Parts: sequence; structure tokens; C-alpha cells
Amino acid sequence: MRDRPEFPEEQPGAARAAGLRRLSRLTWRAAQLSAVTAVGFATLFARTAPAQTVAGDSTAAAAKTSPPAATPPSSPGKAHPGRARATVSASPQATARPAPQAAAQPTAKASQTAAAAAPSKSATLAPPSTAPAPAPSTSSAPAPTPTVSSTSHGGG
Amino acid sequence: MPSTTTMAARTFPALGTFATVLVAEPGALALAHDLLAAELDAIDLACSRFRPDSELWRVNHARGQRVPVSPLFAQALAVALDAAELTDGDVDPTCGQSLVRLGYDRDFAQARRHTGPLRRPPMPAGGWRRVRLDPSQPAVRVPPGILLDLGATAKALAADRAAAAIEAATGRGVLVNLGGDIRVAGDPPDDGWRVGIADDVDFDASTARIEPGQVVTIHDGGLATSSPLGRAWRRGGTDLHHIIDPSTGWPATSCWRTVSVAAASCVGANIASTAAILRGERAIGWLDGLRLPARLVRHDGTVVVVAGWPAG
Repeated sequence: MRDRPEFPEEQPGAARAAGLRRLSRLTWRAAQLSAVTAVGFATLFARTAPAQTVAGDSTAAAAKTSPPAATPPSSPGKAHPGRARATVSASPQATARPAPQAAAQPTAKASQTAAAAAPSKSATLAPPSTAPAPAPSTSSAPAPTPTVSSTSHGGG
Repeated sequence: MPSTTTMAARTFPALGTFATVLVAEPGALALAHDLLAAELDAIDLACSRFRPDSELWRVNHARGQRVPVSPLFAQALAVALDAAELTDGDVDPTCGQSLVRLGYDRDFAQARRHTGPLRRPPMPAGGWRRVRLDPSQPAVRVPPGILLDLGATAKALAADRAAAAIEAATGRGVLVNLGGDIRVAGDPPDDGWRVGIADDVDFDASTARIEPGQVVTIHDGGLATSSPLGRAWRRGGTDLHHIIDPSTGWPATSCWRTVSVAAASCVGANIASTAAILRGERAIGWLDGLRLPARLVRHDGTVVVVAGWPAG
């Protein structure tokens, strides 16, 4: 018959020491878990905060856009990230669709605040609502002299 | 809608070119003129590359330091940076150093008088992505060695802003034309605003008359014409112009002598017409894809129209 193996815990005072070690390990793991959780939250916050800032800027830019961009719903061409895309998507809401009074007030306040803080960034390549048309015949009545788009005088 | 017979117009020199305001109600002309003149003064003070008291001068000479700027300057720079982004860098506001080396370092009327050889070759654009604009303060930081030139878009922005201000103040239809960069606002005349589209080869320097190659009517938005023949000068036997290829710093070589584009705003029309000069043949498909009505004229006079621009 083989002797029972000896375990340190079975020696006098060993049980207390083992308990303290377990408590120490538990405390250390809890500390590690807390640290990992804190790092995770910090990373998540760092990724989310800039996106919220950009969204705020874009809304402000769209709200301050004075001319309606009249962008067709499926405008072809280059997909433009950031400022211009936000302007295009927000313009119909700001100009064409009347909002309920309760919803409109905070939007107006927000746009006023943002407008004071940030200038408009609204350059888009949207087409006009109506394309240029041939000038009508002027044989029946005198017509005003047209203004001219040219670079002859040193313009663009 | 107002009748075309009641329109009133005034033209005056501004920004090194001309400014014209047309209003559909003659009684509103004086106010319209004052508003336009005020807007032009403001944009010149903010964005002139040649005035030592301008904001652009301070920004360009700040040696990389952060410079607080006005909301107007911040808007003008934001538009210029948007232009670069929208055109993949073809319309780049950091071409100022190239223009200086090409001799366009003072008001154009003075610059074109100097015809001697260039001292240094032009250099590629400094890179619009390196310009830092903080719109919340607002403030700007430009890396040392980069010179901004906002001329391409600032004039168009002024047309947009002035037309909106005049329409808001008078409640009448208005057309603002700044050296060919046009913006209309408010109710147009019955038949629309008549606009002549001029090819620069038709310019009679002896009489300062322009014979438009075509007359169209517009009812809303903006219209701009770009051409390498417009602001052109000669140094050391080399013909130069102001539309710079950012990749080389030299004036762009284009198959087009004139490009006119209509868009929702004058800024948009100006960006598209300038980019079209730089893009050459590719501009046809690009403009058509964006559904921007445009008229492109080759050096031999051949006309190409896209996206609903009337033939002729």
C-alpha cells in the first residue's frame, strides 16, 4: 500500500497561508480585469467621440447652406465623404420638408449655436434645378443686353 | 415674375476684373450695388494675396504658426479645401508658390507688364491636406513654404454670398456677375436671365467688347466660365496662365480653350469649370456623370455640350 502523498496545506498553519494566497490571486485577477475593462472603454470612447464631432459639424454646415442644392436622389459621380455628403443628405430636410413645430425648435437652436461656432462648409457639385436654355428669339421686341460669362476681362 | 423690360444693371471694376449686378426692380439697384460692393470689400480684405493688410497675407506669412481668422476667411478656406476634395486635388488652393514663381505675385494688371525670364521654375502644390482649419475658433495653420491662393473659389463665393444677401434685402430677383462667375437668386425675369457665353478669341481688345458665342437663359443657381486664355501673360518667351496643374506647378495644358458650367451655386460651377480645364477629355464623362450642364470649346472652336446644355 502506497503512502498518501503529503500536501503542504495539510501541515499546521498551511490552510491559512493557502487561503491568503488564493485571496491574493483573486484580488490580482480582479485588478487585471478592471484594467482591461478601463482600456476597452477608453478605446471605445476614443473611436466614438470624433465621429460625433464630425456629425455635429456636418449638421451645422447643412443647416447654414443658403441655396437649396437640388441634388437628385441618385446623383452619380464621385462619392464624397465628410462635409459634402452631409450637406447633400441634409439639404432636403432643411429646405423642402416642413418639420413639426416641436421638432423644428431644437433644430433651429442647434443650427444657430453651431453657425455661431463654425462657418459654413458647403461646396458641392450639385446641378441647377433647371439647365440653361436657349435664349428666346428677340426679333419681335428689343431685349436687354445679356451679361456675359467669360474670362476675357481677367475673370476666372 | 418681373418683366425683362424693368431690369436695371450696374457694372464697376472690382477684384481685378469687373462686377455687374442686375436686379429685376430698378428701385432696388442702389441697395443691390451697395450690398455687392460691401461684400467685395470684405472678400478682398479677407482673401487678397496681394494686400499686406489681408487675412490671407497674414496666414501665408505666419511661418507655420496658428493664425486666428474671421468667419468669412474660414468659410472661404473651407470652400477651397472642399474644392480640392471634390476634385481629387485638381483644384488645389496651395498653388500660391507656383503662381509667385511664375510671376503672378502682384495684381494681375501689374504682373502682366513684366515679361522677363523666370528666375526660378515653379514647384508642385504644397498639398491641401496639410492645411489645418479649425472652424470652431476659427483659426488656420499653414505649413512653412506653402502659399495659399483662394482666387479660384473666393470670387465665386463672393457671387453666391452677394446674390443671397441682395435677394434677402430687396426681395427681388438678382444676378451677380464677377468676371464671368455668375449667381442668380430670387424670382428670375419672365424668360430667365440672359447670359452670353463668350469664347475669349472673340474678345476685341480695342473696343473691350465681347461677342458671345452663344446666349442662354438661366433661372437659378450659378454659372462660371474658365479658360487658360483669360488671365494669361508671357515671361521669357513662354506663354503662361493662371490655371495651375498642382502636380507640376506649371500652367495646365488642356484640350479646352473655354469651359462653361452651370451648377446649383457659383462655387460649384467654378470648381467644375476649373477642374474640367485640368482634366481635358476626361471632363466630358465627369461632368455628364455629375449631371452638370456644360459647354466645352476646343482650341479649334469645336463645341461639346453635356448634361442638357443647349446646342449652339
